[in-house]
Amino acid sequence: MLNKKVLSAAMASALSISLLAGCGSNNNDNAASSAAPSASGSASSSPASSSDAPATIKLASWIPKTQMDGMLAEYKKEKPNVTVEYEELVENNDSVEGLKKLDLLIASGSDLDVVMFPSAAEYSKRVGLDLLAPLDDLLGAEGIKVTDEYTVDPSLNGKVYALPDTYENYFVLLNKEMLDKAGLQVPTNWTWDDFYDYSRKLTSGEGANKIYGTYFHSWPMYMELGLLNQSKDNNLVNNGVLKVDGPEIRKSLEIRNQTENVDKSAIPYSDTISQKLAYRSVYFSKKAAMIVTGNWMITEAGGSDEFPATFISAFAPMPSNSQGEPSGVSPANGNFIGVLKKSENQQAAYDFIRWYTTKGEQWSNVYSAWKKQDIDQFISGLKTKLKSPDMIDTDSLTYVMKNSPTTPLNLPPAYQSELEEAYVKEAEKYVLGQQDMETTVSKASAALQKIVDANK
Amino acid sequence: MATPQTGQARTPNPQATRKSRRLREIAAGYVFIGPMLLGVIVFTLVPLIMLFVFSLTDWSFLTGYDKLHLSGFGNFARLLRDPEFGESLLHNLIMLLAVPIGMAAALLLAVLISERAYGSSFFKVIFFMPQISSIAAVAFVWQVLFHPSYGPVNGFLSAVGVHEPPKWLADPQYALPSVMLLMIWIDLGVSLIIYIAGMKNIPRDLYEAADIDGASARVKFFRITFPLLTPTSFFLLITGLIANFKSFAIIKVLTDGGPAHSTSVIVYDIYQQGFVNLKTGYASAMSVVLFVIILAITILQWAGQRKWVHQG
Repeated sequence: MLNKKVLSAAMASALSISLLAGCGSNNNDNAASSAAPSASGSASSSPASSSDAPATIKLASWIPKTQMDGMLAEYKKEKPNVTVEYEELVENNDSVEGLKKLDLLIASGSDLDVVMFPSAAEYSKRVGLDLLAPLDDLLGAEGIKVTDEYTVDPSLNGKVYALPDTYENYFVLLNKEMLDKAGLQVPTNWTWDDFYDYSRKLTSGEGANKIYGTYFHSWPMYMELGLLNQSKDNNLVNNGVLKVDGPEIRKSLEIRNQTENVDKSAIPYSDTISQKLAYRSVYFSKKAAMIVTGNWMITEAGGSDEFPATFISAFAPMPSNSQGEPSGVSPANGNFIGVLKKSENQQAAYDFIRWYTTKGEQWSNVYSAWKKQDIDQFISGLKTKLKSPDMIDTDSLTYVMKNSPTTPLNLPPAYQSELEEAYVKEAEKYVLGQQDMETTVSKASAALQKIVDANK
Repeated sequence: MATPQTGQARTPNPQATRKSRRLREIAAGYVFIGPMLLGVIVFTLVPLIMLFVFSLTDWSFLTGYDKLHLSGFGNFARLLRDPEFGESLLHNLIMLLAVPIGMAAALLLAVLISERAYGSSFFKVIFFMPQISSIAAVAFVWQVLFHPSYGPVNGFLSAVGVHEPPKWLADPQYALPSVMLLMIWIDLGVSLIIYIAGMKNIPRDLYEAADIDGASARVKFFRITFPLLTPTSFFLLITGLIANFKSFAIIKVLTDGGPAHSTSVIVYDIYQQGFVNLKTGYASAMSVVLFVIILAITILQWAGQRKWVHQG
């Protein structure tokens, strides 16, 4: 029991430290709340001077410091008076771990100003806890409507609490060598039925050496593929209304069942969870020919230290549920960057996140949610940065980037992670052959309705 | 008159010095235990009291204390209606079976190793290995062994004619037994070492007397070894049950509570609600329930030990 004991002791001490830290934050809160009115008062009385006033703002995220330093040096050129201190939360670029550290930092009353969230659900959860400052007044003062400036609308309950940073939409990444071998074209417009067909044709071999057509990762989104590609109301719950008992969820379940259990052209879910498979190693070690993934994989398809690119990757839009529906529709997710409510430098922090989500991301050539970003320039910029740029099929990438209709982002409710847990629990039973489709749908509906009611 | 006067004057003096010396000794005692006492108050007692307070709120640890409102027993009412929590509690109770099973296996091995095997220290090391290995490494090895399609376990089962072997960790019906099997395997070494140590303490003359009376090995085990090992068994049972109820790491690295919540346990739920869903109040209520259950197990065992534990 030694390991367990050490771990539980560590957890207990972490909890008690966070509680102690909480004691400290009480005092800090008072200080911050008493200081905040005067700060905002001076900002409103002389907005022009305050934006260029000397200020120090603190930014925290999981992004490696080496990557962030260049960006912050660039901002220093723009605003010499403003110093941005960067707090690197984790060393391994792991956003989930980083988020836990961030939560502990906030709970301990640290004087952070700007924080970053790796997904809409995490952003929404923190807004639910009233941690972030609404930015509407500051946007209004600059004369900006957030939907004109960004492809993703970050409004929650009618207010903007963060700006969208990176832009993440989803597509299908394909191993072009396997595609050529099977005599298949890179699809430009396809449905899930075509996807099954491709997956079957790309499957070969037997036993431990079997190469599968596709692989679905263990994330909840892979249980919602037929819902994700809808142009509106693509969450499990939209404005309090469930969308579980409908054709989209049935389609999502069918996709998994057809490929894994009927065609046996996808890596079985039992392997995925029991072996804790990782999608990068599955794809780059050629265990699966195509994966549904997001555009953070564009740069990785060009090779990384851990996974060198040994074959050409092509890109295809998200399949649609039926003929006639547009393919390539996917929800726009991404990183969100916001200002903490108790920050004393609201204006300076706002100026920084405005720069960061626009010119900053263009400077570092990240695919961002800024509407003025040039896609051709992004792709050519990408080629100069990559380890093996020849391993990216530029034609299909350009096509996908230009032909993926952006859907309005439906920000998920603050209790999204609970909804996903409850849905995945039932969906897992279906995919593993433990219960039929209708039982799954009705049990999931009941469980999700309960969560919605509990959070009213 | 002078002597009784001094005598009278002197008599309160030794009392006073005795009293003040006693006080000084008490003070010195507190100085010595002070650091520990401070540690216990700050890191155990205060958090414990705060836990009870938080369990009555719907607070999240991310927000300041100004957002702390008492909401009564709402969290506990919700727990009663939460089927997920009920499932986790049930899994915890089923998992408790791993403790007596593991102890029985350890006792059997202890007898075999110390009496019937050459190179007993070699076996002690072998059985202790999993305990000193990293739990993540152990989990990885078993993931491979339990691989649903190509794993050695299922390979063996198919070879001996089992038509459709279970998918072990990926099968909602077999995931919990698989985890329990692994827990028994990991903890076997510690119980084994403690049992062997306990057996060393049994006086040899009892066995000699039994030999003279012509007792069989079976009789010797049930009449001498087993009864004299009951204090050891009691110790292993009480620590084992508590540790088993608090198990978290193995669940986190092996199954994440899945598939379909079939291996979720209370501590995993606490982690999930408190640190992923950020619901400190609700997670605290779960912790209070866990606290009460572990307290009850301990009290029950202390009360019950008189019935079966052999007091030397």
